[in-house]
Amino acid sequence: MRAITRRTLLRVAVVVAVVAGAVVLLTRCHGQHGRSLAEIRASGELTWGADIQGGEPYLYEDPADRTRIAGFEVDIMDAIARRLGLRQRFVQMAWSNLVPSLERGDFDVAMNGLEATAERAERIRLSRPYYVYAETLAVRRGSPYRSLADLKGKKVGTLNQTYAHDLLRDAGVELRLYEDNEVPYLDLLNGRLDGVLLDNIIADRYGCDRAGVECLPGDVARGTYVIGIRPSNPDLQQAIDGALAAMTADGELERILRKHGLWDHRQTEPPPPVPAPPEHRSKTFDGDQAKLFGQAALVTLGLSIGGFALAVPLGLLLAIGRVYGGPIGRGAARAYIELFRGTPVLLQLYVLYYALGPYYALGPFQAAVLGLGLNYAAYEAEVYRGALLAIPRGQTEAAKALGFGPGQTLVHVLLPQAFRLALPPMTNDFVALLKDSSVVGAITVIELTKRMQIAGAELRHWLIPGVACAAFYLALSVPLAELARRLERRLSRDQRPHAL
Amino acid sequence: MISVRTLCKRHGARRVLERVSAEVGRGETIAIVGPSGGGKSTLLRCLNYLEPFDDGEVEIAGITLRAGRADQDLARLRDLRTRVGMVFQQFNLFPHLSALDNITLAPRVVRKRAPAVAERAARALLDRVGLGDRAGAFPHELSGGQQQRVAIARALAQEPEVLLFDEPTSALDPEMRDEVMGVIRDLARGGMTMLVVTHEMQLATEIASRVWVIDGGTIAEDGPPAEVVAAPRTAVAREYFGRLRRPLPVAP
Repeated sequence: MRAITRRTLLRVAVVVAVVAGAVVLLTRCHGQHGRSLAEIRASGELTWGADIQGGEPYLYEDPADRTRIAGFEVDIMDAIARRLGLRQRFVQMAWSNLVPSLERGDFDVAMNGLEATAERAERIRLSRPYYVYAETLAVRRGSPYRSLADLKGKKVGTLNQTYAHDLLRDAGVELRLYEDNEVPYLDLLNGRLDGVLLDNIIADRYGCDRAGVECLPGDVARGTYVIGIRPSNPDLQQAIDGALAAMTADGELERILRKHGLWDHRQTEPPPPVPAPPEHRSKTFDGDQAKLFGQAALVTLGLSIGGFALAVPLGLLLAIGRVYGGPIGRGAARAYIELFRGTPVLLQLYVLYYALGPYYALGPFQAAVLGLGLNYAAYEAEVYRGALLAIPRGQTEAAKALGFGPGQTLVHVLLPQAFRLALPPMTNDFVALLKDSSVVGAITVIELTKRMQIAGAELRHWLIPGVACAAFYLALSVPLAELARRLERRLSRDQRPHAL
Repeated sequence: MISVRTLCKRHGARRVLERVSAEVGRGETIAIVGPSGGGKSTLLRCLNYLEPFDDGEVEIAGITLRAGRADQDLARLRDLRTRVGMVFQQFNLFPHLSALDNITLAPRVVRKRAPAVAERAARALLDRVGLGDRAGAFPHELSGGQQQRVAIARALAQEPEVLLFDEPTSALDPEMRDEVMGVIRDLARGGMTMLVVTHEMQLATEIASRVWVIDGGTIAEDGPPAEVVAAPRTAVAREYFGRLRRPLPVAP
């Protein structure tokens, strides 16, 4: 008795120590890292974070030399570094995570179409502007919408964590978030969106030149691109502001912008003020956030149930084709299984949503359910095939000898027994699907994981959103596993484990 | 009732059945005996076309099966198999169904009997094999002898004209063997036409009206038990029955 108590205490102590250690590590990491200007000067290298997926003209692989990067931000960074007596080095980072990564110390500054907003200004140091942009609203040619107000309740797309994202949140539209410059305009063309609000640089290059897209005249809003610097680095901000001011004064900035076709009248007009924070934005994990997580959990559940409801019958058909089909049926089922099992589900979702978009524009949720269902059908097919093959031959013979036809044997004798055998792996697959559904954030569906990413970037910490996300996943998967366990127990009375 | 004419069956180069011909009249019980691998089970399984054959012809319960047709059509097979029932060595009950549902499934699905009608018939059959009180039991809750009796009831539920038994007692303990043998004896007395592949001397001598000794893919001997068992003419039959009777050699 004493021994058990002591052992239990020891276990509890170990768990507490591990959790406490993790928390200490996390809080220590938070905002305490990164190099000072002196350290940067000593290394001779200024590192900057940006996302190469941002593409032309910001930064992109140089078509003449794929190992190099080009872009107006590369040129500006070159000039700043030169004026500081340094070299610049680019560090790749997903755009929506630029600010958290800067805070963590992954690079010295962040520069990639980073808009000056009141919120960012509270969080990090912002350099003086190097570009004045406008938010451009694009609609389908011939559509009745002429302003953001007309689009209330309609589907409008933009990039995650942008100023346009803030504007749209307050505009009462149905928001769709993208991670890519081009796809929102493709979705506008094929009818998935009614409008796209993006920076004029992106709109001019990726949207307005398309025949079916109309960019509405007049700027929805103006803003400035700035360089993000850690709060602990006032010297670095001063140095960079100095370099930018000198570049404006001696005309180098204008030369760089002209070289990339970016110079316009906005650059000489007085720069717009830093916009006020939007109303619909939470700073802590509050009730609104919890509600959003709850909605996202419902989306995840819907995706999983819908996907599985498709995967089970399709998988069954494939398994029957593979076990009992003729050469053609067997070959077709095998080809399907290898194709869908052998390629990433993310790729399949991209093909379904983006590649097939111009021919048949499925909604994001439909495409996600279809993609997950088609993918999981391949796995289910193998589970059912294994279960069918595990049924003793005598069962088929007994059914035949009683006069059952092939279909009757399958329905009344083999499938009920196969289902009992398949139930444990099916439960496994359903829980796996629940988690795999996190990839559909890539096709603009906001499910749990995407919601966690958005919340993490917004609240500038990841621990609570991460824990909330995990809690919701567990709240979905654990009762499901329990349900399956009960069903299994009811169906498989004769399949108790043998004592070893 | 059954007429087998020059039946041939090969597995690759091996000849499993070699021009087998035989006749069975209504109400006869044939005990099929002989050494392992001689073709007993194969012959039995050809009679309900669980095994296709390569040459010859089988006429059984009014249906003629000819060799060479890659697959007999489904309607004919269904007809054949409702008229010719089969009982297996390993019982092959459906593990997901109760004893009652095991028996009613085929009448309901294959012969489209109304559930109530099928159930009434099934309960009568369970009474007949002495298991009237185990209707709701699942196969894993029944002893081997009970399972085999349910399997016999399941075959009888299709109201067959002929019953084929493939070593029905080989997987059973002696006491359970007796309960199954009792059921087979009662069926024989009731006039059911039966072919029983077996190693049970009791069945061959007391229940069967005729005994076939099968070896090397042919019927080596065919006659009433009094002749075949008591005074076998062929070496293979003498050897076979001799071994069944002979006590184990005593170690020196």
